Amino acid sequence: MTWTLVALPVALFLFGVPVFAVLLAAATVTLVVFTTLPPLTLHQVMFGGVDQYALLAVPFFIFAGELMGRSGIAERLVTWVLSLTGHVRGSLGIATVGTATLMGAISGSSPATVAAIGRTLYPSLLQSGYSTRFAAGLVTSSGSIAIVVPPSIAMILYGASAEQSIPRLFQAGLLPGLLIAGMMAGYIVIWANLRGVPRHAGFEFGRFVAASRQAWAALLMPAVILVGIYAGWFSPTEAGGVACLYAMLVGRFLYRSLGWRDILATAVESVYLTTQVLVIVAAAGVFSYLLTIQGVPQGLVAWIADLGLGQAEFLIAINVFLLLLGCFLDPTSAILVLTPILIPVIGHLGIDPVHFGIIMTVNLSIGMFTPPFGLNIFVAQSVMTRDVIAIWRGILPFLAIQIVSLAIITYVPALSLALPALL
Amino acid sequence: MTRRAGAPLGRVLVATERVVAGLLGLLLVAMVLLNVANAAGRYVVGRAIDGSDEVLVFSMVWIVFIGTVLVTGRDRHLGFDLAARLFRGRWGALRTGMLDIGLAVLAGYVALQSFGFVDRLARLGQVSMAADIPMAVPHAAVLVGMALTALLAGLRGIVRLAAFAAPGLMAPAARGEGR
Repeated sequence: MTWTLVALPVALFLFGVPVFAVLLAAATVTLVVFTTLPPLTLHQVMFGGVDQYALLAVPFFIFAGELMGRSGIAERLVTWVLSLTGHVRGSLGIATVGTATLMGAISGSSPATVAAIGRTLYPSLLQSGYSTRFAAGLVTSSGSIAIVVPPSIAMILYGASAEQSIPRLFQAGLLPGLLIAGMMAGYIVIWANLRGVPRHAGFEFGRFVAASRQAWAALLMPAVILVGIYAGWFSPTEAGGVACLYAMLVGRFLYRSLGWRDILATAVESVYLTTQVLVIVAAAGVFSYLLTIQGVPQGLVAWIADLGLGQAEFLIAINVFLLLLGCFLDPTSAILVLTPILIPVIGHLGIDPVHFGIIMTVNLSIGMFTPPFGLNIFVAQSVMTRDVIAIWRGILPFLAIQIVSLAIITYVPALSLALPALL
Repeated sequence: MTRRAGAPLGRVLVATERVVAGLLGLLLVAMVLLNVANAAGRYVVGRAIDGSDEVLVFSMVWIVFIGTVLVTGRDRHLGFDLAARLFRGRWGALRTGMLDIGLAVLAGYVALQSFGFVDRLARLGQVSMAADIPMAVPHAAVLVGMALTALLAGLRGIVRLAAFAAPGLMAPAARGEGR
């Protein structure tokens, strides 16, 4: 049966079959030919895959990201970040990472972040002398920061599965998210200096003040979202709706950049983007279900546990396993399938479940842009109209940087646990 | 089917797509407002709106499965584009035609299973816990979405395969170019 869950999807994928149909076809063939489960299971698991309150954050944050792009909020954030970094060679690249981090603090959705920065910053990167490959790789990989920086859909799902405090997980994700952003910014500066990318205007206090005045409502957005969540005014999922309403009101009445028709057009585009993502989640639910029924993840974890590894070796093994899994499974499915299985193992090894939640989130965030099935690659492909191969090539250096960041996050638990201990 | 004969049908499909997409967009805006009203309600009147969470989640389910028909119609599903570069012209029509027929069979099979499940729910008269919505309603989203996807993909697959068989007669879009 392995061929229907491994070889068949790979073959269909290479033939250009849509990802959702690849997963659904593999699962359907396996279910009908190799199991005694009733075929009605297909309907039940597909429906159950999207019938989840936590997933409401996906359309909301995608809509918020689209509204930010169209209303000028994202543009003002970029201008503000550029006013801080303009004097540095590679400033636009740093602004891309900075904007992805800010967007992550608003939307919590990696695909939404890639969609927003891809639409607003990718053309500017090309105009400023960045190569197509570098710009595509930067935009696609920057989106992963959004999963690690709170609020994070992946952390909400992990917290629910592992019975851990979601606000504590959010606190734990802040420093690792900033570490990844910092490492990426460092690489961009080195690359830009080696390639002689032109500098923008130097730092001017007046320009910074003007940009801050222009962007105050945009900068207030992450504050409203995060304070709202931590003060208990609204849940992380409700925060998505608040982000949409905030962006609508700011775009319509403050910036006057959105008409009612624009808001509806943005909503329609968000429907398309939401469907592109969530229909894969529905199909991945069936695929993951069959993997679980066949005991594939459990077998792999049991095999790792049987190796008799210590904490450090186990973390290496689990990182490799999660990175590989992240190439094929979306974070939602991977977290929902693996967390209940892994929690007893990490408890046995004395690993803090909050720290492990961050390790798992960072691993799966890397999987979001790792070939072949990384969702952000397809989102980037959709918004930048670049072919997948060009995006894959651009991703490689950023993949290496994020794996180094992951190693630091894994072996320096204080990075994740210091803030929850303090706050 | 020639290009001329296909034009009115194409116009109807485009108009239908526009109306359905607009309705789904409005539904998304309504979901945002309900979500915020729900959160605000806890502070203003001291309680959330009964059943609003279920209404929101079921609306999302409808958006996803009806959206699947729209995304299929626009060929906007996420996937690997290398094959599209390798197979062009007539061979592109053959590849996309085969993909469409394969998708039609797959979606049709899922729709068939969904029909059995929705039928069972309707007979049982099961309703949701908070909003008392008949459970057949949200589950029917899978049935309707997959059935329409099967129909759309099947029809387009036939058109594309016809383009492969008689390349001179068809418009570029029907040959699956630009996909």
